[in-house]
Amino acid sequence: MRCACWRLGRLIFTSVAVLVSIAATAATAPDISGTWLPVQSLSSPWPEPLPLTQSARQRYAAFDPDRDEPTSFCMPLGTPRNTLSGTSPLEVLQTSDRVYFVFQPNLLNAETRRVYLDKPLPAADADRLPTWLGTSSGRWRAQTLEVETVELEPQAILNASGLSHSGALRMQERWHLERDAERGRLLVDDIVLNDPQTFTAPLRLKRVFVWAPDARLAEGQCSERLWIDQIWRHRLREHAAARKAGAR
Amino acid sequence: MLLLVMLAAAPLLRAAHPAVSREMAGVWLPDSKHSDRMPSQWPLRPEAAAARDKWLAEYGPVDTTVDDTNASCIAEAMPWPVRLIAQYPFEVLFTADRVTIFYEVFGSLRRIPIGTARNTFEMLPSAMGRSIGRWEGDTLVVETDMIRREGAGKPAGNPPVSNARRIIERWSMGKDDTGRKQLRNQITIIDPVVLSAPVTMTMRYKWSPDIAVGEYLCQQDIWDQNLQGSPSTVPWRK
Repeated sequence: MRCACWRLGRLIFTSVAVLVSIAATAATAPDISGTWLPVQSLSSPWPEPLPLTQSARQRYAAFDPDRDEPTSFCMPLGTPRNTLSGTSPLEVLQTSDRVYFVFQPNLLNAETRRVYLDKPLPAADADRLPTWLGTSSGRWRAQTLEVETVELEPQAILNASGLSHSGALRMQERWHLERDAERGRLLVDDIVLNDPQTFTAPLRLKRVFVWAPDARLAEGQCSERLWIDQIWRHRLREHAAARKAGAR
Repeated sequence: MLLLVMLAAAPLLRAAHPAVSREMAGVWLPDSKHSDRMPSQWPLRPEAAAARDKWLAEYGPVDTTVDDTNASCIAEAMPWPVRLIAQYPFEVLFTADRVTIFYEVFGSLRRIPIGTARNTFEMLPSAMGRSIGRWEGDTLVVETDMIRREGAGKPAGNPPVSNARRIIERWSMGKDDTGRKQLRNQITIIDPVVLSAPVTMTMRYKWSPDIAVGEYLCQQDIWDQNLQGSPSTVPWRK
């Protein structure tokens, strides 16, 4: 009987501990979900001069916007450019085991950065292809969400000036909430870009978003321009051929 | 006891959705073998059939390599993303008062608020339309309207689309023949301007926890051509 009581007590204690743990997790992770608008004036500009390696400087100088700008071809902004630039809203979706950062620039329908919490980044593997959005892992440390992102596609560029990066780029972020007397709730992302093949020293940037519950993300249809161009080109060829056939 | 305590705590964390939402959340693949096909004959109203015939007489015949918006990376409009039978995954994510569905195809994304209509101020029709959801027991009912007409009636035989089109989905959980959990979606297409009767079909999806929704770079073809001069698979892009 004594033994049974002890077991019951231990079970109750464990159950309460689990409940408290769940509640504590829910309570301690701040709620950063919702829609946010970037605030350019509070965000840090790119440093001048950029701490570029010799090869990066050459790549930068050779940038041709007509040829090398992915967005002109309706390709994604990619990470970290989606986080660092643009004026379109950011939407954050948050659960206990993941945080999704959704950008919807006028390119693809959506660029969703998936950050899985407390799940280590995969070991380096040459067979894994880089992606435009990268592979991210995060964890809550007190009130700050720390995110690390790797395996980023080097075809993506970092800004509209054509600053590129290598496949070795590693992005570290610290997302946290602040309050501004004038603007209200702010979501701040302190970013460090590590890429020894591009930068001679880690590059530190800050991106600030303001709480914008009424902002809406809309579908982008960049491809419509390409579609209309192509349809008309094709139709014009058809009409020209028909005219020629009629003339004969 | 432990399980009971955890179950009791769960609603505190996710009050807007019933327990079945935990079964629905995650990544799914279409189960094409066990899903309905599109009807071979659509119940077109006479006026809609006449309009389609007139269009075909004027602009036909349709060349799907040119006239199909998909070939130009235009996202498919509702309900085609939910009735896709190709093996592209999608992810269902439940957050407070909302369901979000991420489709790999075209990177499309659906936002489905539960019980509250979205602000439609200055809202234009879109491929995913405007959705609102509600729970009827363990069934998630989603109604969608404001669907963009362009690209919605594909030239490959699907009917035209009017501004009055509405889609009603009934998402529920079941089991497949092997006892594995299965997501089901009964889709009803209502379009009183085009269709003489609603069209209903049921899709089934396979639970796919080991699959991630990947990046869908439809425009990669054009981008590669730009960078490398590689030939396109699309005839009129060559």
